[in-house]
Amino acid sequence: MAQEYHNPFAGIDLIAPIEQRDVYDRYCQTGGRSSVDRSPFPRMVDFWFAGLSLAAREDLKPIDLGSHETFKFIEGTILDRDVGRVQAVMLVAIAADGNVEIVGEPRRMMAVANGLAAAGVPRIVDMLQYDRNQDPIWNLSDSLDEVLREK
Amino acid sequence: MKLIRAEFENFRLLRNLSLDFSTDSTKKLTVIRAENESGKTTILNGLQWALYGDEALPGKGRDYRLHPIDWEVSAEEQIPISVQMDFEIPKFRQGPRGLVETTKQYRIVRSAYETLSGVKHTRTSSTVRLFELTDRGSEPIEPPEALVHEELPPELREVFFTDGDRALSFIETTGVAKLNSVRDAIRSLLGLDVIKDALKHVRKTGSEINKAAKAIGTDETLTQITARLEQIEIESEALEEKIEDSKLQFASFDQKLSEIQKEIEAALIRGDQEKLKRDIGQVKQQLEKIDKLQTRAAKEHSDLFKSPLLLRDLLAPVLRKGLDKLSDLQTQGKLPNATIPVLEERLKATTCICGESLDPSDTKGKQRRDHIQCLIDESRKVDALQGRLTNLYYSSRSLEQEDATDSNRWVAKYEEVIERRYQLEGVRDEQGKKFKALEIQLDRITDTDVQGLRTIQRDYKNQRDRFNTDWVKYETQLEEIKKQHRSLVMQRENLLRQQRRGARILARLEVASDVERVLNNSYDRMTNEELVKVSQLMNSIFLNMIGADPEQGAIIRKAEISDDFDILVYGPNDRPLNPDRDLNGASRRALTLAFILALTKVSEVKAPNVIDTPLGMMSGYVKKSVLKTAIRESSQLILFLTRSELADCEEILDAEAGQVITLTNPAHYPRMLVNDPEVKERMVLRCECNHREECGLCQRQMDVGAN
Amino acid sequence: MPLNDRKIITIILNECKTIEERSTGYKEELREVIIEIIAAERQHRVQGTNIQQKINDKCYSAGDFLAESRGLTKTRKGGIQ
Repeated sequence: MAQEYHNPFAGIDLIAPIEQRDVYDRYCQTGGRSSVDRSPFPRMVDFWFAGLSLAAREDLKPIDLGSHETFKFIEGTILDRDVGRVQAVMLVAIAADGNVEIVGEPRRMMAVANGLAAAGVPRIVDMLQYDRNQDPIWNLSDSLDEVLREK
Repeated sequence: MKLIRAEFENFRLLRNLSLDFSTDSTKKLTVIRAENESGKTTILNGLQWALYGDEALPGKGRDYRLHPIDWEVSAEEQIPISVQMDFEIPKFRQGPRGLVETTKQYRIVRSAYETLSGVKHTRTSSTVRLFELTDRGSEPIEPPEALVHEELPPELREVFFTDGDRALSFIETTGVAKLNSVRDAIRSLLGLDVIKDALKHVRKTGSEINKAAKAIGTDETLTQITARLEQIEIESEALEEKIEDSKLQFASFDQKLSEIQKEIEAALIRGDQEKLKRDIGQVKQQLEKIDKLQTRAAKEHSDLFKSPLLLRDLLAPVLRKGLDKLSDLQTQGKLPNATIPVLEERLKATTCICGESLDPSDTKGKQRRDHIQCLIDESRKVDALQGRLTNLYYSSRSLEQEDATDSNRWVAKYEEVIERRYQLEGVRDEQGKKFKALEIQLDRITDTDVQGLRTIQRDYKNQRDRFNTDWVKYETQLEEIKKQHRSLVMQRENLLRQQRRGARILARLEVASDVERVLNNSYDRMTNEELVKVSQLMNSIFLNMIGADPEQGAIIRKAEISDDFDILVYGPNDRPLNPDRDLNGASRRALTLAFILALTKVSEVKAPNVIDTPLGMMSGYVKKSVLKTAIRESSQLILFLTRSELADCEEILDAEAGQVITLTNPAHYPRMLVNDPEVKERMVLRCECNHREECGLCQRQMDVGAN
Repeated sequence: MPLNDRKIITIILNECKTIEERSTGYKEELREVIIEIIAAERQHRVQGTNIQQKINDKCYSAGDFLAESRGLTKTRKGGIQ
């Protein structure tokens, strides 16, 4: 049950490289864009999570954001009611780190997650812009559809 | 009447041109071969200007320049313009052995001057002079207009000077205008107007004689009767005028009514404005509904990107790795840890499982308790991590795909969303198009107020019906007083017989009455019998002309002129055809020519038919047959023909043409003419080449010549 | 003379045949009067003459011819009687 679950990332920021700020604004409806077809992601965390998921799936190397200029787009509390994502971040962190003990270190887990998201977002942007004649939502959907059908 | 020769000076493109026409009764045809822009229409206008003046020019000559457009002129110079025409007229007189025909020749010269000032021009009113040409020279005739109007009445201009397109007005215009043009042509050519005028004057003579009868004054009854007759004649005249007026008004409103009816029908086909607005409202609502559904579907689409399904499907291979790690711990027995609850349970008691005291007041017991507490604390530290992993292990199993059928649930969901969005897009598109179409319809009828038109229609109908009622009423009244008139005339006759001075008056009355009867009967015969003849001849000429046309030959069975002077065409089973819609261009021209030729033929008028582009839109056998028929039925035929009209008709011209000349516009060099005519000014040039010849002047580029 | 006088005159002459011979030579007289009337109408169109007077005169003179020829007949008859 969600409310019984503790969110280990409550006090930790979700961040992205500063150079990705523009695409976060452009492709998320919370960035002030009203056209669903051109800005398919409801919130920035969804964009971030899509990047993270795709990077993890495609085994991309997380980007070490320690040396990067970054921007915080939201706090970890956003995950309070999103048990699945919290668990997913943890499992992804275990898989990436290879050591279950990482579960005891939320900041490291979040660093892995942010690094993966930073690596995955450019891939997502590629998908969004795949065909200039088509709205991004269709580009993204078709590309994801293709990725998911590949076993 | 026959045209002999025409000369043009500075009449537009005709700076200096003379034309000779064939007057040979065995070779009645004159052909003027000319391409477009070579002065054909100008010649037609010029000939009519000579006869009728500015009235005959396009737009009655207002703002219509006559001098050549490239005239180089110094200020104040006057440009002389003139057209001269020689013609002959047959004259009849009653000789001892019947009618004797002689021929007289005339020359008409019309001239005017134009002065240029900048781009504007002014024209002096034209002067016309008419001469009779005799062996002794020429004798002026005054006033020239009278003879011209008598010989070629202006209302017959279109019969004798036919522009292939303009003459179509005999069949193409509708209603009163068409009836009037056909009626005027028929009346004029059959000489009905002369008889009508004579009738009017003879009736007046009758009235004068009646006055004389009244003036006898010796018999009171005779005085009363003649007075009443006088009154009746005035009343009759007034009633006849009223009837004529009502007829015209009736026809005019009938015409207006049918026009407005057409307008309403057209508007109704386009759509009723109110209904259209309602339809637009409905489609708009529908569109709003669809737009909302589309927004919802797009939102649903967008929600796919935050769906747990995407997370699960996308991360499936990765999550499996993490879960495998946890499963390992589980198998190693490191999960879950159950010691802490046992120890905590013990601490609640005062005795350990082993039987030793755990009493906190007892020193040993206290030491044992502290030890257990320490164990609990350390265990807790390790357990915090293990707890998290345990929790994660159990709770995150929901993230695991259970089997192959469970995989790609996001894709399945996405397919549903696509389907819905596509479907909605289709509906939106359809409704959008409907909306656009309705809006266009609305735009088109914005100015058409159907209700307003209906009001006018009702008004026209009322007026038409009122004139119809008047017409019937006046005719009944006229009939009534004519009856009275007949009976009064008999009474007058009887009374006059008894008077001493009555015999002479009675005889004069009898003469007037006999003359009136002859004229009346002649008038009726001409309208009835001659009209039937014109109608029948037109039909046979027309069918002869188009008989070879397989397309029209099957459709058209008969053409006739109705009693009320309407030219009608019928198809199989006497189905009426609309000359405007059901006849092709060649047939319409043929019908017009057939009417003109039949009318001149029946009237026995010897007048030229000058026709511009008569064979346009015709080809093959039909063209030949139209040409042959026209030559046969006309007394003098002058045709303006382009080379393409002439094509295939050369042999007919070899046999029938008494005169062929060619006109060339030098401005056609070098695009259409082979040789440079070396003429600086714009003007039409004549050469004597016939329909088979070409010279250095008229030789044309092959491809253009074949046009 | 006009356009199609031959036509008009032929028809008129035919119509004259149906007129009652009111006295000897009357039909012939009337036929001439009518042809003259048509000619006068033609001339009037060209020259604008006093047409009504001309027609009156022609009718009167034909009427007088009729009256006189009747009178002669009567007188002769009377003479016999």
